[in-house]
Amino acid sequence: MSEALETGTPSFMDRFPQEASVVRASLISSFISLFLGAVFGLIQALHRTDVFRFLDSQYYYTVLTAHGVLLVVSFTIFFLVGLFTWATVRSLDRPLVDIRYTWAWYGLMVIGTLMAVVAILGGFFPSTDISADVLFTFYAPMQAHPLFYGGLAIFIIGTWLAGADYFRAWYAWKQDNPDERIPLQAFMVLTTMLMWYIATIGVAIAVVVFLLPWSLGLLDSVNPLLTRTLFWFWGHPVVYFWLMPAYLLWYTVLPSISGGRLFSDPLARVVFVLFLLLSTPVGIHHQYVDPGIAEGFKMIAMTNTMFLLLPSLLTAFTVVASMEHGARQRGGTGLFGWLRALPWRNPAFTGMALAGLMFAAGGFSGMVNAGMNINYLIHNTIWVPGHFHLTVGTAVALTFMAATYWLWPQITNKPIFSRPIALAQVVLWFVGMALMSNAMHVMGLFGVPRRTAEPQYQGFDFVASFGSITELRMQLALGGTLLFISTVLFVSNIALSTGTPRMSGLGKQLSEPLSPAADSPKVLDNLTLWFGIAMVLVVLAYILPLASIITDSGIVDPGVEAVPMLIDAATGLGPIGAVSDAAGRLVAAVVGVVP
Amino acid sequence: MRDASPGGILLGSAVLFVILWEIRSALGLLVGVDTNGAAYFVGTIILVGFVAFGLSVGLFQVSAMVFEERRS
Ligand code: HEM
Ligand SMILES: [Cu+2]
Repeated sequence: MSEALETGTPSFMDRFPQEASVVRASLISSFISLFLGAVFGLIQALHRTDVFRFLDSQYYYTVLTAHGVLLVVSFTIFFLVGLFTWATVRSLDRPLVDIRYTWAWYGLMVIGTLMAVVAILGGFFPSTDISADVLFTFYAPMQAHPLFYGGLAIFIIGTWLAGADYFRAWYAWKQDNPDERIPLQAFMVLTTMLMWYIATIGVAIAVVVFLLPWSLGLLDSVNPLLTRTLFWFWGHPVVYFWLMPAYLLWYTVLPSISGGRLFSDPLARVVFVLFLLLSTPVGIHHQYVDPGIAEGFKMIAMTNTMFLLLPSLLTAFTVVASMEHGARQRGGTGLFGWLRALPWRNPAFTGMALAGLMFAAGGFSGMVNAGMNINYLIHNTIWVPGHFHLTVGTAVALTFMAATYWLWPQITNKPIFSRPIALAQVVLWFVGMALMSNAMHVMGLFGVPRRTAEPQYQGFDFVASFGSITELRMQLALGGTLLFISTVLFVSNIALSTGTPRMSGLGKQLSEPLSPAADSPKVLDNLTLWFGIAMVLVVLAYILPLASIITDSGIVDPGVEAVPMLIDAATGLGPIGAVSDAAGRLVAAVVGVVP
Repeated sequence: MRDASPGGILLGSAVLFVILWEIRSALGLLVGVDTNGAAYFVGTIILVGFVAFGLSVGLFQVSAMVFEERRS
């Protein structure tokens, strides 16, 4: 098998060893977060379905915060910076300007993550007053320890500096190639980072101006509606920040893996520009049920959201067209017969294809979320986690894992430990997620809430219109368990790959698009123009809602008392008590299973 | 004689399982047919198992696509 892998092409590691180290470090940080996040995910899936509860329910929010932050902040964004570093260097075909600077932003991101994680895990130790059980949305007046907000701020500064690194590399490249079009991957990286700069204005103000000083005691109160609106100013575009690296892989890597070429480079550029323009002025669609925001503003956010469907549909078309091209190059024929000619045995391909399939399903449930009126049906029910485990939890996460099977050998010069295990892993994720997400969607329709340790209420039963709630709970728990096993297979496969023999020639070339960059109007590469328009759209979408929130209830709202998320040490278990209590339950469960 | 590869059988069975199982939700939610959960699950597993078995021993002939497997 190893010979089959050798192409004789120098790998990324051969060509850019220093950059390869940064990419590796970023991916490893990402996978550590993935693994820890999955552990917490399993705990939740088993706890809230009452299949197995080994932690006291009062710790559920600590677990849930850790799950959310580790997965949607650390796992995704560390992978993103690793991938973007690779893509920038690869597509510009030159090293970064100063590798010490690169390590500096990576270091900041690590420090920020550690601070936030320490604050969150402090929640398991009620005797310390460190805690951050505020969930990854950190809505005031719930208050976290300053370490949490500080860590978040430092992490975001790290990402800003990472973006600057990519811009520096591009600037240096431009001096040498004044008349060339920006290479496609670099174009994708730069537009995504521009979107990120706009989006993070919201969260930076929320955290640095309000929440951090407030948790330090410098501010007496904050206006929860204001910080929440600033959060969602960032909270929607961040979903595209997770998604754009997956799109980059679908557009530039998947066609080559399928044995073909990208259908159209100009169309890919249009899609990324559309995301830059439309990602931010839609955040209010997460606040359809928030009082204090006029219906008209919500209506505008809904309209913009529906427009966002366009670039995603363009992507579906382009990616499938490129796959079909690849399949026909490999000898596939027929209306659907070409599907059989795709390299299904390749885990990188199969993982990305299954991720794309699930993304389509996630898109449908997303349309339900986005509709102002039908949103009321599912708002804050477990339907919502059902939706985003298909999008970020699969379209993004499974694409990242699958792409790792392709990318890892190129940044380490070592082949993947086992391709059959890799194939089984991506298929297992698909099945596990189908079960978990299906159960979540259906239970959500029956009104079962999200973010609840014990969604059983005294004197009240949820009514299932078919099957039973118990059955759905079992389905959720089973799906979650399969997902956890899949994560373990992934992480151990990568870990074991560090032990495979080093070899040369593991590099992979990417094919040129059928319709090249030269076919697109030059204006598409005018990043300043698109950035300017994006800013105007954001101002138009947000200035009036923010102004009315501030005139209604002030920059800070003196009537709002902070609610520190501390478990009362008197009623809660002490740290030793908590650990021994949990260990006791674990032992009891194991003993119960062993005959 | 068998044409389907183990990888193909694994993937095909997984997708078939997911489709069949999702049909149950669709029947329940859209058409209002309440199938028996346990029976449906067992039935699905049996059907998927049968298809997987059939493919692996060549009971069903899938015309194989033969091409140079360009490993990428
Ligand atoms: C091992 C696989 C996973 C399992 C078993 C799992 C399980 C769960 C469950 C049961 C919930 C709902 C908890 C509740 O609302 O009470 C949840 C929430 C969540 N999951 Fe996962 N999940 C997994 C993987 C992922 C991945 C890969 C991501 C993202 C990349 C993710 C992101 C989230 C987020 C953002 C929440 C919402 C947290 C909140 O409400 O604050 N999960 N997960
Ligand atoms: Cu959104």
